[in-house]
Amino acid sequence: MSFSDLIGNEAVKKILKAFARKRKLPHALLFTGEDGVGKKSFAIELVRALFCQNQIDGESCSICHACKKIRLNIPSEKEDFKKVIFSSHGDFGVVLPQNKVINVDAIRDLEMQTRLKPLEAQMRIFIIDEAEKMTSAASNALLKTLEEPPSTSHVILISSHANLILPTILSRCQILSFAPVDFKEMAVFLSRKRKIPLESAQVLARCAKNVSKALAVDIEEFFERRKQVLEVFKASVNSDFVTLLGLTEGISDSIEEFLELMHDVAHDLWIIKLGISDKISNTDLESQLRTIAERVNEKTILTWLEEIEELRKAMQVNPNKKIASDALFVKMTYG
Amino acid sequence: MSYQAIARKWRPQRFEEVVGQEAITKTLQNTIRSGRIHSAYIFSGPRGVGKTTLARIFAKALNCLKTDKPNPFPCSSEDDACFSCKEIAESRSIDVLEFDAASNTQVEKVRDLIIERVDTVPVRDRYKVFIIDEVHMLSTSSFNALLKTLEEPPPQVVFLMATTEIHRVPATILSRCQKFYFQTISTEKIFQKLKSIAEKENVEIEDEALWEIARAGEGSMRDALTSFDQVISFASTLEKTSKIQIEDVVTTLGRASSEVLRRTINAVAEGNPSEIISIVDEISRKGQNLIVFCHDLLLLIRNLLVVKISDSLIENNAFSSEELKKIGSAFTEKDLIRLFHSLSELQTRLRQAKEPRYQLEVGLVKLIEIRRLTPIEEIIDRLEKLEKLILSSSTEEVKKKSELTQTIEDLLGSDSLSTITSSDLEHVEISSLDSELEEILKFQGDDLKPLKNAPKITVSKDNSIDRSVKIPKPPKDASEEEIRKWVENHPKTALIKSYLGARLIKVESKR
Repeated sequence: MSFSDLIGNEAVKKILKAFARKRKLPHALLFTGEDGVGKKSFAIELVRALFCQNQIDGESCSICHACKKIRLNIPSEKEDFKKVIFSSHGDFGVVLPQNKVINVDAIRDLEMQTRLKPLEAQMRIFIIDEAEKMTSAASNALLKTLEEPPSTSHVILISSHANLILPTILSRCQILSFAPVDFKEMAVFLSRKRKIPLESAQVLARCAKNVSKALAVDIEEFFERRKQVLEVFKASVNSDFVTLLGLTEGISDSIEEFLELMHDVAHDLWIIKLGISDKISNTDLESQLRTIAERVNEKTILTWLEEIEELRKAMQVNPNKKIASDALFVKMTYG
Repeated sequence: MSYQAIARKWRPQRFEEVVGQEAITKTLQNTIRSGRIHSAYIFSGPRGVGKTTLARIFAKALNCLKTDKPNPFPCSSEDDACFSCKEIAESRSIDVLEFDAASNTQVEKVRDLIIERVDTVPVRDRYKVFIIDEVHMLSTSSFNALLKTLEEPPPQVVFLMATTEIHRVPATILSRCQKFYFQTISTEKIFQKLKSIAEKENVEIEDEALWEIARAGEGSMRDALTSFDQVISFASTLEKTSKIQIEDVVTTLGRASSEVLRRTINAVAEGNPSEIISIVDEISRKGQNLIVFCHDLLLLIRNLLVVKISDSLIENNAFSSEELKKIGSAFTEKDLIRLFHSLSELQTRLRQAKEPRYQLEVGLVKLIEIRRLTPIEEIIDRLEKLEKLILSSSTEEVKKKSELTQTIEDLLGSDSLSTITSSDLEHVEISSLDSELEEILKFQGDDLKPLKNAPKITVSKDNSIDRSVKIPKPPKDASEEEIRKWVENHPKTALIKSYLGARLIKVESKR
């Protein structure tokens, strides 16, 4: 693993390589960007390159002692999340959220750890993953550490929702924003990695929107699910409520993925309605989407988009999935 | 070689170096000059405007060893500073204790680190100074434990507290402190500071680029300095030899360039949704923050509006006022106000959006729709006319059915009035208008339903009422109950009821 194995974000890569080459790092960095664009992989690779003993032009050698030791360990014990989680390398630690929050204890431990001198490398680097999940107490506890840490300690915050982070924290960090990986690049990567035809890789890339998800998703299931989504829209314009209720049976387990796909399809319908059909994501379904789009007006599609968005937000607080999806379909069919 | 952030390296060391808080620095200097030193001060204000910095300078001034009393001009760190000032600058002074309230919120820590130590006299210096940063994070019991100490500390103890959220500090604490409210710093002043730092650091950068950084700071010096740091370190990775340009700043800070903003507002003016979709595609592909983009667009619309009112109010901006006028000519003032409302709502929605990109696209395309709508005032005007007509007809008791419906149809027309739906009304926030409109719409038979679909007012002749029936008049001494009954049964009342759908509320006797 080295920087050249990571796809996309060439500009960011260039900056990180320069940091590694000079072995110099700002004391507080924030990596932002959508989920799954590679923020964490880049961060770990940066640490590896910085600590690597035979670093060549900002790239780690991946065979030396330090390179091998730097890995992300995910502990199983609940108590471990209240501390900085160290890898086998003593100068690289991470703070991870547990039960959707980063506890103040972990940040206090981090504060203590930043005050120690490096053990093996020339600096200590700490990563806070999903930094927006810090509690208010945790965020505030981090403020002083972020502003004036000892010169050998560096903190990298990672967050896909930087807008939820305290402004006083943002003002102390240098922010690197990661762009979504280009679809074409991703499709080529996917078709090579997953051994699927380029065409389906393209659809997958556009719908999954990020690399890690596209790699994880079960392809057959994905296409099957998309077929169901299309059924939902068809049944909805036909006011065929019986079919709709039948469909909810199958989907309540994977409703979040299902809603995401619905969102994409509804958005495609809207784009078709605006008359710019070359911008749609589900390119292979264009003709079917067109027939649906002909039967609804723009206002209805906008309401759908809004309803889906609302429901996706509501999903974060664990509603009854069956009832929620039924309710959505009722609203979509009867307005 | 360790490297220090610009914001830390150039932290002001003397009162004069603090930018943008003249009133406060003057007051503090005068306090020291006159020797009227209070026991507790609280500094509040937004992030990065100099609270902690001033607290440290104040501590230096109190303990500076250059003079034998507190010195309003403490040593700065470069020249031959006294021990005390040097130590405070390196935050290792034995008598100036900096306490991070956010990591030590518990009452035990407060007791250990503050209350216990208050009673010992200063070791070497004049004053024992406690700097409590982020004081709003202390727990309730910690605050309460501090109360007595704050009120009557030993004579040589000074508390300096700093916070961004003064509303979270209990009133009992506040009433024992002298309060200083820090303001955000003007873009102009941030720019000057950046320029002087750029000169000292030998950074070659265009003035325009510095202005952009200063604007990005939004009144916070530290934000601007952090951005500046970022621009310098990122520009150096590009191995550019020329001066840093405004484009470099825009790309490193992930802000939308003025070009993109111009294209967006033009697309709205021309009603071109496909241009909007491709703009959003472009900025999200670059990984730019969509909320920041929305914010910048909001600022642009605000400036368009301001330029329509007065040129002089525009601060230094990415767009010249001539350009703003040119762009703004496509919009009326009312248009701009509506765009502003709709956009600011979009901004709040974006913050929690699951699919922010879709939200932004839909929100921006909606802006085009908004321009196409008939202004709400006009609609209300028409409705008012309608209302008057109906009301006047009811006072004349009964108008002929055909006449009335005819005029209503005239007023509504079949295509002269565009449909209003509740979502279109969202951008109107004048409550008086709202309630008025609601009243009128209620009269039409439904809340906020499209007017067209509202049931037409039809006045029908009810043949079931027999007017020939005569009911005897009630006697002169009849009770109210009896009169009421008589009125109820009177054929005239029945007529009015059936024509106007009215109901009897009150009966008054003329006698």
